Amino acid sequence: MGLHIDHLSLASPNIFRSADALCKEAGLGYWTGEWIRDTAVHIVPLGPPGNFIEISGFVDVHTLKNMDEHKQWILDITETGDHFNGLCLGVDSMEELEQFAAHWKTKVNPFNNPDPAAHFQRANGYILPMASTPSGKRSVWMKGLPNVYYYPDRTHHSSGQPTHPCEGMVRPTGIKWVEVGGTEEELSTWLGVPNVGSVLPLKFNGKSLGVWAVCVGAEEHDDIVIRRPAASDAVPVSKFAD
Amino acid sequence: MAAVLDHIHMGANNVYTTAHDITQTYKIGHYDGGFMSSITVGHKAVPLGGGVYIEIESLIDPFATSDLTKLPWWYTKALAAPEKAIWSGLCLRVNTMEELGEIAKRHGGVISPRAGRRTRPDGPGVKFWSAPSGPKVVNAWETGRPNWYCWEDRLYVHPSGQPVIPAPGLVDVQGVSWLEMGGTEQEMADWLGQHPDTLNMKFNGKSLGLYAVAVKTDMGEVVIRRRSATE
Amino acid sequence: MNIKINHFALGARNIYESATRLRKETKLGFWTGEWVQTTACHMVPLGNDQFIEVEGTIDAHAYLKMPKPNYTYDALDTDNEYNGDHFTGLMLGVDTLEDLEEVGKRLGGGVTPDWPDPYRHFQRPDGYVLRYQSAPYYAPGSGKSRPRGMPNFYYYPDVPGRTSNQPVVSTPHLVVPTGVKWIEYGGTAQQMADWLGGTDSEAYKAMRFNGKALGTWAVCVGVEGGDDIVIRRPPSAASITDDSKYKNAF
Repeated sequence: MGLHIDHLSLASPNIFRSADALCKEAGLGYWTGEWIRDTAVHIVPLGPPGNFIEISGFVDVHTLKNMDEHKQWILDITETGDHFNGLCLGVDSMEELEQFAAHWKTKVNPFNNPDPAAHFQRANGYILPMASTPSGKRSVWMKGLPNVYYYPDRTHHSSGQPTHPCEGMVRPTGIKWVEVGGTEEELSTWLGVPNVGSVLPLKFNGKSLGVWAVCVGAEEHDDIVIRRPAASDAVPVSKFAD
Repeated sequence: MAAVLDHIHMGANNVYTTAHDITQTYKIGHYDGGFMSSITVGHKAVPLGGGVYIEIESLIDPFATSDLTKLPWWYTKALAAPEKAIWSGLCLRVNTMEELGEIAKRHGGVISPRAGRRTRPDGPGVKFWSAPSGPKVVNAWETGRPNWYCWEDRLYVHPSGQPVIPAPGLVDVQGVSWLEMGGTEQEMADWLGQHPDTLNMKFNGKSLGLYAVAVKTDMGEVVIRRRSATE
Repeated sequence: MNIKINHFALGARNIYESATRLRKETKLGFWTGEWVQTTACHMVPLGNDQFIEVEGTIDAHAYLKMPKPNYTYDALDTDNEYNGDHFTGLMLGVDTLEDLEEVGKRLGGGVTPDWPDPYRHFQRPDGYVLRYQSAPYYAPGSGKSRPRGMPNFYYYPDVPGRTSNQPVVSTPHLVVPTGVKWIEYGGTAQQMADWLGGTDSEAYKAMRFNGKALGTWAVCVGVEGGDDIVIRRPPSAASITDDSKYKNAF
């Protein structure tokens, strides 16, 4: 596949309410039960070649007694509702992932970290091996920028797991385009990929960085456009410039 | 790139009772795989870990055709076996259609002209390409030899990664540790175009085919023996 | 009227972590996805139409805006060997709405309205709305409330849709539960007999009393072909020694 869109992250104040609303709005089913530390995700598969939206939010309010910059960011961007807070790209090999890490002068977050708490865990205990870059104290998502993933084993990819049935369910046929803020040049510079708009199905709206909409095809159904503001609309990326 | 193990075919008299028996006996879970495009064949999948699964198939609609030549080649053999189920196929996987094409060519054939399809009860259709195929190519499984599949970009819904039914006492499956094959190592190496050690194959010198599958689990190794289709 | 044990509420800081830990401890499976407003539950069927709902808050903003102090949150904030897990409720069941109304009346109240808004009920991802009514219900402003630590009563009109009947997530090494065998409860037998209106019920006969703070202290569950499971967690009242500052009952 080469460089491709893997998934979008949708930060939510209440992942159950947001998934329910999206299901009623778009007929897209979701599956539940995956979590990491104080956060859980409901996964909305979007069809081939394996894309999804992860609706994410806090499920452990007791950890809010120990605040940090990232938790505060999540609270701030979900104060007024759902916001897209992550564009996650994918590559097909560890070598390609390491090239991105080298471009960003950083490391790869390895897929075989032995600490189970460092991984997303599904309801049946399954941990999906997943490597990503860049690595660092502050997530690049806070600056409205994408990161990159590699899955050594795609057979359990989140986009392929069965969903709960959903009233008015449609069968998604994949992402047609994603609307992002900024310009193609800005994103090409970040990724080190020239003319990234011809590599990825992106439209650029010149607004603040991040995802603003995704268009998904569906069998025997009109295309579905899911619009939510980018996280940078709630918290400017300039807050994290350093 | 060397091919890897993709799935193992178990032809059976009754897909329901055979899947139930596998789960009860070996504590390995299964799920309903739906039906094949031939509509007379039902399917249940048994994930084994490591990207591998068993597909159990049987007739589910004996009235679909009165033309006995249209029935699966393994069906009467399964009926004759003690467990009413046989090992009737071994399938490897390559990543790209280019690799699949090269394998097809090496065996004097082509990639199957039409994609194989299966309809799941709950999900999108399952689609795959196989080789070798062609008018001069004998069905590899009928001769006890493996064939090859390519899932293109559909590994994300590979049958080995789907959830199984919530039965009590299931083991945690962790992949196939070895396969017992008929014939010799050299015969298989010639057929595969790669060393059989890459697929953890052992050889018993009997007629070609699969005789046993050893599955690694968190409760130890489980060995599933069934009559080979060529016995 | 027969009064049965219906379910237990197990309050958790993180329902995902708690249910996973409970499964490792007991090999009891659970299913996910049910929620109502700002609460979600992972459900643990126990057999015999009984279950544990591992419940917690999944809406951080609602939590931050909630009037405090809050009895349940303060209990869950109390560290223990179960990462803060506490039994926060025992729910009994009756078979008919008439029985439920009789209970409500005996306890000086009524039954909860069958709220028409589906979002006031537990929902599942497939759109199923779990309708039920409970007692005793005291109208807001009546000045009455259920005494802390005493169970309430439920009636579910739809038996096949019951929480206890839904399939769990498939996981290795699950056991098949066969129902609650006994409960260790705080307080005294007399307190419970007075609350239940007698000692004839199936629920009362399953209870043992330890004289400690009111609430569930342990549940014993039978297992098909295996040893009984005893699930111990303290009740909320065990961690709140002075409840005078809490306005809400629960």
